[in-house]
Amino acid sequence: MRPITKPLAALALLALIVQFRPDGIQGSTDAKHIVIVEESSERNATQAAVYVQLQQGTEAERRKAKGCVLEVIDRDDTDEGGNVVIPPADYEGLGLPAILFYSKKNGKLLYKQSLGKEFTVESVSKLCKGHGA
Amino acid sequence: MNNIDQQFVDVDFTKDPNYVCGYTGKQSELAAKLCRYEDAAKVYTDAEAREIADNLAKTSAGMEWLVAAIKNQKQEGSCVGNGSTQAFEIVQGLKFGKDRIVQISAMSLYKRIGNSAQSGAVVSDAWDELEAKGVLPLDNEENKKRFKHTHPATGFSKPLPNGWEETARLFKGLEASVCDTMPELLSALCNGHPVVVGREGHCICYVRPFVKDGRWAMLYANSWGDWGIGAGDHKAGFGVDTETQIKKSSDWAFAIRSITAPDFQTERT
Repeated sequence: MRPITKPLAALALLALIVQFRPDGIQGSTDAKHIVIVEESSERNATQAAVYVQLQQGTEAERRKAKGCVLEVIDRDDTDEGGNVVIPPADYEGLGLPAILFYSKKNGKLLYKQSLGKEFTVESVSKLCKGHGA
Repeated sequence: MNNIDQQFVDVDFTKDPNYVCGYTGKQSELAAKLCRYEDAAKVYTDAEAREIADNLAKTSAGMEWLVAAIKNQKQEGSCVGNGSTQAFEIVQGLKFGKDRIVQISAMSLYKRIGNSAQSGAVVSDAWDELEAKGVLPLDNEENKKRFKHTHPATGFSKPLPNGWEETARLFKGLEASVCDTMPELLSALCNGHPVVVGREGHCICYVRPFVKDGRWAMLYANSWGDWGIGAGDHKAGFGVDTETQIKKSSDWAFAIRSITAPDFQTERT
């Protein structure tokens, strides 16, 4: 490889990495809008306890300091116009509850995964931190 | 909850100076649209519920931690409005975060289900109105800046503002279930669904079950201002019912499972 092409190749590689790097992965500082999509009739006591702990106290303060918000939304929840709040396509193929990370800046869905039936405050917090929230 | 002031356990509401009869006790027929909790969500055995309650007691995971403010009905019989809107606010806290709770005017609900300041109301009517038209934000400074329509916490005679329905539709109930047995009531609270109950002419909001001296007890948020014991991050405002009183309360009670998720509160872009 000629010397001039080395920096170009490095730049091209960098461009590729940036292109395929999902927004919101560790290190991203954009504020996040986090949604846990659930079926409230299937919520169990462990999940409820996690939600209560996530929505107040130190964990809520930590997220707030980063400008991030977390919501627990039933898949059938509607807004004031009767429209379903979370488009089913956003969690298609995932078991509920699922966690979705959106950019607060542009509303783009950045990352999603099922939480499984058993999860903890710590595991959700770790996920949030890992996605910049 | 080991050292509870006994003055606030199994309170005979009718003998308290704060008492104004507000819960008429008479219920409308169980609406077909409002299913029983056991048909809508998970119901636990007594042993399971005890284990859950123990865990809740050890952590900050009881719904008392989501109470934004203790309500004060003053000398009006609006407890049904207060208990129901307290439960509504707790659901807001769980869904959107405690710091994003919009405090609600209990009177904006009560004045549509009561006949006068002292008439009291029926618990089932509260849910019907929450679901049908919603409620208005409390008229505090923050809410007045944010919303077109607000309403005070007390004052039956004050009319609702013109066009109030436009704002109330942001704060509607979506799903609730009737809890008319002890296991249903316990399970709803274990699952993070606050329960509005009525007993002895008064309506309160149950927030957490716990075991006291081997028997079931419930922590509730009352609407008598600084009356009662402290819980969550409040110094007062709560009371405790043990089994005898809980059984009276579980004659007819509803658990709120979901509420409207309005655009302003979900911060969608």
